[in-house]
Amino acid sequence: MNETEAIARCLRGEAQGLVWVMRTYKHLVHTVCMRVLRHREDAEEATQDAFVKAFQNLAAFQGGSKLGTWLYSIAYRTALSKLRSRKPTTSTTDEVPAQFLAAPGEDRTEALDRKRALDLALAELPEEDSTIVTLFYLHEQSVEEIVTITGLSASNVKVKLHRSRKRMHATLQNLLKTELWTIHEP
Amino acid sequence: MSGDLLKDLFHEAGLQEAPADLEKRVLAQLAKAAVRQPSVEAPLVPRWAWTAAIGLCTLLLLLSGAEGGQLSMPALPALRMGAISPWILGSLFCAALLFALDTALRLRSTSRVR
Repeated sequence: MNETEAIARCLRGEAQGLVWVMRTYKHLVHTVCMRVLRHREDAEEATQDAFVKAFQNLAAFQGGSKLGTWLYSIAYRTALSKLRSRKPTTSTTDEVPAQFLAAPGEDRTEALDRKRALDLALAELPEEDSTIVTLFYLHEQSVEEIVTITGLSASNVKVKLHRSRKRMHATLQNLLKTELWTIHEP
Repeated sequence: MSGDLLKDLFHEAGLQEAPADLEKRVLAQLAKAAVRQPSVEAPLVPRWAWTAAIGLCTLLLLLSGAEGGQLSMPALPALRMGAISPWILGSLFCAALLFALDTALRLRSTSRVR
């Protein structure tokens, strides 16, 4: 089944179409929700809500953008709205999640593997910036697509990307001292 | 390792795993909420056809009331019921009836959640 056929099936209310879309995009959508919410249960709930909203409004999808971009924008807005409604006490905006911290007595520089280093660098960014960087590098969305997803201006996205890269560069350079690397501008 | 470490790191780290039963949960939520999927069936007669038909009928009606059936009309003629063909009146009535039916069908949402 291809994307066009899946959308047509979804519009006819066929479960196979819905399942195809979810199987194709669920991890990508969940990753967006995780970057915004930084809380597994909340992200799972947001992912579920995002797909329900998407399917309820699929007729409004005109095909002007990719299905993925459209789904990410719904997921992003759903997660943001969940984040805003979350009680301030549970907010983790400026906190480093516990799972990213090294165990007591552990040499953090050596103990951190590359995945953990990335998670830590992302956790140090504001939610919005972390999501933008993820969309750009992992989901390989263009600046224009990120504009569509986030509703920010292109210049704002570029500034945030540049600032996030610099910040991540500093964090990662500290954590991955043996790596020799450069960061390319988009 | 390529020059762009960030891209490499993101791809190495991969995606966050969504719950395995997400599909089941979403389908259950859709069914529970009795989601009303908007109808994708096109109207039986497209809108342009209605517009053209009504325009044509109106033109015929106006022409039938015009002096000598002239095509150029400097001013709208006064309607004289006696001069209007019953066929035109019938056509207009049918057009209005079918237009109303078509609009009602288009606005009615159909629910077909499975």
